[in-house]
Amino acid sequence: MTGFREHRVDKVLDLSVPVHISKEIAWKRIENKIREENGHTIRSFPLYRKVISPMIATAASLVLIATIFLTRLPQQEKQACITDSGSTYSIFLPDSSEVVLNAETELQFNPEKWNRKRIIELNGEAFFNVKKGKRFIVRTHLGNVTVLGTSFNVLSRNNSFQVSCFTGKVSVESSDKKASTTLSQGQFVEYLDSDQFSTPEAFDPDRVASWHCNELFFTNTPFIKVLSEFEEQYNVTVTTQNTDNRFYTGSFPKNDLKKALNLICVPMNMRYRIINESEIEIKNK
Amino acid sequence: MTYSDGSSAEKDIDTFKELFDTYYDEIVNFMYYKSGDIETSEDIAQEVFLKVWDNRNNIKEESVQGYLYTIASNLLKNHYKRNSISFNFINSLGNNPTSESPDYILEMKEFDKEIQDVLASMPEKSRVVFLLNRIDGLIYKDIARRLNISIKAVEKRMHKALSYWNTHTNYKV
Repeated sequence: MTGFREHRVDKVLDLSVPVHISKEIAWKRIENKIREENGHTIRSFPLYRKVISPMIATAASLVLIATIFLTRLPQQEKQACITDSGSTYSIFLPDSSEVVLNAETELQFNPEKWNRKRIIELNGEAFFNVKKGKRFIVRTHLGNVTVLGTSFNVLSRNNSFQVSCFTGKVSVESSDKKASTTLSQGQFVEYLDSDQFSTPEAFDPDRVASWHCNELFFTNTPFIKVLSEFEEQYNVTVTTQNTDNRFYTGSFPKNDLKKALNLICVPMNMRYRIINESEIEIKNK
Repeated sequence: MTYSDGSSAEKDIDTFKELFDTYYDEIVNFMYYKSGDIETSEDIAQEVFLKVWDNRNNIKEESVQGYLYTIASNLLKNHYKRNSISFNFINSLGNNPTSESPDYILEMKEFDKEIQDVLASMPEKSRVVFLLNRIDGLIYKDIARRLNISIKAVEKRMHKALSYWNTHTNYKV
């Protein structure tokens, strides 16, 4: 017992004063009081007061107000898709370009503007299979990828930005536009800390795209396109009635035929019949 | 301090922030050693700095530390009148979850309470000197400067603190 007590006596020095509010909060409180009392002497916008005359200021604000009115457009709604950890998704964009999102990835695009501008904002990792057409731009916080029609993988997480080109050509540019490079089929590039890209080099396609998902994901996609994707995936032929003007939103697995058929037919209020291994009939209920 | 008038208020605030960063913690500790009440200690520390701000044109940089301690002591005297105080120090040992036996933990808690009670009942002047030395690790000369007393006085208070400690606990410090 004495041993324990002797040990503890040394620890008298190890006491520390408890904390009720943090030092930062204490400072904020003091600072607020100081600024209240000295409010009339502290100038927040010295530039405005000293340099710009009232007349110019008035003119400037009028221009500003006019600009706001003229450029105010109806709010366009962006479509966003966020995957959580452990799940991957395929998305078909309105032009039936395909995007496969890896886990913990966020993607945004504007469907209404899609026909004019194919721009996607990406944070995470995704594989793109772009249908030929207008310029297709992937924006990330470190840089942009621009293509016409090709397939490529983009990884943009924290401080890494890597692009792998599977087919066609891809041009890559850093956000500050200081560095850019062009990738040919089978090439890979990485953004380095020193504001430049690594030299394009060959990569192993299986390794880069190995995360590709087991699920197809559709947003407001023409039903006929969904079916053709399904046919391709399961190597079957689907016969159906007229499905013009019908659209599908949802997802189905790539490796479970019956589950996939249920996930397609139930929300569409349809029925399916498996005729044989390679033929399926879908019709309205 | 080299404060000028309102024309460079932002610069003044920056200088003042440095002063705050340097001395805030030790003023809070000092108040706590006197009062045993952390909320009061923090309130008073804030008040101390506001007073220094108000008088920034009259305080010399070399005397600011002593000034802070003097204002703090005075504010506490006006603000806080209580006969008995109790401490709630955080003990680095007591807060570590260990695999020790319940008996050991219980004994540790009792011990913790005992030393905190002895500290609380110790005469204030002796306690402050004792804790500034034992917790903040200040040498006598630094304590003397902060409290604006002589080194001899610090030695005397320290001696009183130790003999109080020894008569109220069985443990040597």
